[in-house]
Amino acid sequence: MTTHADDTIQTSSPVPPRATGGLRRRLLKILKRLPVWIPLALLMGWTILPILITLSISFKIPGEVYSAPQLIPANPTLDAFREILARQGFKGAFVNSVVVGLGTAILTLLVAVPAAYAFARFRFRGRHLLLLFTLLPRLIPSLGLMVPLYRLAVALGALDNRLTLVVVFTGTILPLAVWLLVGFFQQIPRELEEAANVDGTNLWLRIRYIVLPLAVPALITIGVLAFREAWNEFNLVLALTRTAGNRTLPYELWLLQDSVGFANNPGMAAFAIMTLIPFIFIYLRIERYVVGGITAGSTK
Amino acid sequence: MSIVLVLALVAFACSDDSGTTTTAGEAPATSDGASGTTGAPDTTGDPTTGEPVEITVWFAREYLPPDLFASLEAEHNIRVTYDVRPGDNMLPTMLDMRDVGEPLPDLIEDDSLTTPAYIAAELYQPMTEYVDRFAEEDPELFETVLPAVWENGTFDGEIWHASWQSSYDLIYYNVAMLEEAGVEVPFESWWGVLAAAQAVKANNPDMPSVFGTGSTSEDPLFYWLTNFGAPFDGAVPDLTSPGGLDFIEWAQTMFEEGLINPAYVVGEQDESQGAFINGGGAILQDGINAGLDYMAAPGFEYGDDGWLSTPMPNEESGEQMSVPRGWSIVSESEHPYEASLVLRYLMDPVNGVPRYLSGSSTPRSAAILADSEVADAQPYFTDEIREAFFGVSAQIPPAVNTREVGAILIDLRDDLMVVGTDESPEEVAARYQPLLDALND
Amino acid sequence: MTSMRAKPNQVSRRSLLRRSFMRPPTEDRNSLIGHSRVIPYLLSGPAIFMVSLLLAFPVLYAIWQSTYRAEVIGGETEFVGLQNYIDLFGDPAFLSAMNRTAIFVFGCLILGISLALVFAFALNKAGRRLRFLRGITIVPYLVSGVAAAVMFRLMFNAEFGQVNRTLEFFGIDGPEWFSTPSLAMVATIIAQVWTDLPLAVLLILGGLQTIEPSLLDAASVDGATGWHRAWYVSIPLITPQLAIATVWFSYGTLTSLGVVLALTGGGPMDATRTVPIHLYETAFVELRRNEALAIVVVILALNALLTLIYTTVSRRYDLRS
Repeated sequence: MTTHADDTIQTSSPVPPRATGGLRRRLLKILKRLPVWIPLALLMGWTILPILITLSISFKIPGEVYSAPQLIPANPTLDAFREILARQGFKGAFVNSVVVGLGTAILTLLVAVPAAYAFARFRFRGRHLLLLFTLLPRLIPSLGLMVPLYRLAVALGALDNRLTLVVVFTGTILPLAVWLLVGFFQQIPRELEEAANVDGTNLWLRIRYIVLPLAVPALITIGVLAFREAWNEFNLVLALTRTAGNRTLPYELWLLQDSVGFANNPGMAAFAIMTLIPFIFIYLRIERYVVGGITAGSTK
Repeated sequence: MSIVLVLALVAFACSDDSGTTTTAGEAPATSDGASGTTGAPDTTGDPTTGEPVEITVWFAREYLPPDLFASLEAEHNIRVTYDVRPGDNMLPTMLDMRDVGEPLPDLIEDDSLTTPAYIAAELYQPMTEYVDRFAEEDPELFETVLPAVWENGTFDGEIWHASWQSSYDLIYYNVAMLEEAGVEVPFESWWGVLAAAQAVKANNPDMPSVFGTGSTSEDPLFYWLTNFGAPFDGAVPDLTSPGGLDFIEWAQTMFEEGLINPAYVVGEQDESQGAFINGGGAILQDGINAGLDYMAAPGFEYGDDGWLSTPMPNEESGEQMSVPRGWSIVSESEHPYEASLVLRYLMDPVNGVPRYLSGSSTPRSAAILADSEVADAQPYFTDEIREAFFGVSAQIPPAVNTREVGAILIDLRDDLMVVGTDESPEEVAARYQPLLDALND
Repeated sequence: MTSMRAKPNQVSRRSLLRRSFMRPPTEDRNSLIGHSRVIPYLLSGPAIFMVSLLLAFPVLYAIWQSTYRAEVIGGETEFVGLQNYIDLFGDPAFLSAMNRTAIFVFGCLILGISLALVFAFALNKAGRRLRFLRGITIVPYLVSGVAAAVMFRLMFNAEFGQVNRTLEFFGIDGPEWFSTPSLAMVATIIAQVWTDLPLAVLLILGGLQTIEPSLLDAASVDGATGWHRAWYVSIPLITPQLAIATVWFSYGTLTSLGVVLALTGGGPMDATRTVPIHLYETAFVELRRNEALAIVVVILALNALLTLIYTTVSRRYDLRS
């Protein structure tokens, strides 16, 4: 198509053809990319500016945050970071958060994949109702979960235990996980599996070797969501734990906040930065696996 | 390989980290230096088995040196487990725990204003008897504790709560600006503060927030209403009283004259404090603890070249109040005496000083406040202020509905000082009083 | 209309895929050959069990307890039937909170879903070098609401905040965000959207990436421009993901407490006092737990209603299932 444009220009302009054709082509190319670049620039700004502000706060002392609010601190200090690292409970809470987060991600996938497969591929009695049932109870706010789950945990002797947290967080993310996976599995054409079935492979092998590899992006998304659920939840940790040894980062963050005098904004900012950076790195590593899907794409 | 790692982590997660019999941090068997506690005979320890008595303590805020209870445990046959929990959640949690049969803590810390709610819920037991024993067994230490600590916790003739610490607001001011405006300190009244602010503003018309507050939520409202002399029925102030109307007029004038910054009022703390430090404000009402952060403010020093402090004025009524918090013994505790020993231990300057220096609110202890380390850390705590602090006997009204009243007072504050209203003080009072009175029904 | 690019004799996985997409959506067929009727129940059993125990049980508990009331704090509760609900809907404070929450939720949805669509489309088209942006996108989702609120308070500060400084650069007078009731709501919406947006972007992007490119190519062969392709082809194809994103987003905003409380504390003159804040105060300030559970049930009912609406609407437009 570009060539046609070139032809038109050539016949109507006295300027030597090559120069104008190249310039116009380049301009058009930029214009075509603008609808992509502008939103991406906006996205970067939208995401990064607040993070930069947080970074900036973390290098200040509490009194400076509002008295010297410029982005680049005049007297940067690592005090806030030192304070966080020196806190008794920080490392433990970090480890707990990672452990509970990973546990939740794994358990969620283990439970959600078979369930979603069943809903997507089988027609059985109560299918629609059960699917709805899987989703709707999730819509209760977590404040409403605190007391009943606490009582349940006590009744089962499961109070103050990280495994309990893993199970509970899995429960709260299951509905989204199942729902996502059902949609995803439904989009995988049956013919693929039927082709395999003709060869005599059973259900488990079909799932393992055909469905799952195609579903990797969705699985990773769910893993990330499940991890985040465990990472950020405070109310349920408050209700279900009794000792510092079993608590996760949000609790530690709460402990940080409750200061008398000046609000410990640098502490909170340093906390946020220190808990974010590792995960940005890890996510950047795995994010290439989020690409793709059924279409495979030319790189594969 | 990574799968193995992940599975190992998950297995780790499955193991219950039982922390119930340890105190956080490594506690050495004996402590250095003076035990500092009592000359009391050791009557602790389980009489039948000789095992240490287990006491569980709940703090509502942190500021705990890691080996806090080390010397207590060395002296007496007591083992202390502690936890830090959100204050606003403590009472509901304890109700649930009681329902379900989970063992409750022995000694808990919460705002003193919540005491009636706990009493109504039958979660406290009176400690009058143990206070008497305290006075008998350790008179020296007992005398360093201000009487208000026990008085503020007395209801119906029994001591239910030890109001050990309190927040207390001071007026911090910028020396140069006030001098330039020809203002005399201490302020005689809140109208005097207003006049001072006007004078400063005349010299600095663009100042964002001549007067600000650094204390949060409803506390300033209670301070002001008490200082202005509005009578309280329980936690409900009478806005229609002369004191109440005076306050409303004062607040409206502050707003109309541009002496406060509405956005800073809503922000409650950060903006006002920041403005005070960088010259965007001249007069700031803030707690004693905030002074420690002002001491660290770069470019703005304590002293005649920077800032000084003075007590809040109360000429309007002669009443001062504080916002205390403290300790109570839980009704289900089987070892109230030992719990009271833990309380004494916390009150001992040897422990109280480090705790205060690491950031708790101000303990009502003559000994702790006289400590040289403390005095060095807070030079702005002048003799005048000390006198005022020691003299305060009134407190933010303890009642089941104090916080609900506070929520309405915050609306009042926003109405008067954030959004502004053209109504007369009487009209404003007439609008809000029914809402407040309804809470007392 | 479609072009078969696979070599005719090569029955590769890719050609199977393409051929299957070229067929019109098929009727939902019976269980695959050779399996018992028990298997689907076995497969979905653990999930159903967990959801029943951990979510359905609390819902029932909340409904049950919301029909009781305690006279005294911590005292015995007695059955009052629907009285808590009647009082709730007669309470002007609650009704205004509902009002504000509606504004809040719809504001967040409009802003959030639009931004999510724009960002997801852009990310989908991003060149390989810009792929790292996908990792950056998720960052807000990992930050706690309180930390986010701290940032936004600084950003929206009228004196020195970045927002006002940018506005002034364009010649607009920066307003007082937090002391103006309506603007406080706007600031809160922006902060809330910031924290939850990554979820919507992830979901929609996931959906976009599963669109078979030949569908889009087919459309452009027919003369559709980029915008047309996006609006008439891509968006209908990602309806399921859009529905999930909308449901989850509105759930998140309808129950959001941390961000709002830390940012405005309920706002000047209760301007940002949403239902979750009302719930928090009923439960922890007024210590009326059963009444608070009534609010919980109302929130649940609202969420369920919204979900049913979204899924019904999405099913109408869904081309694929």
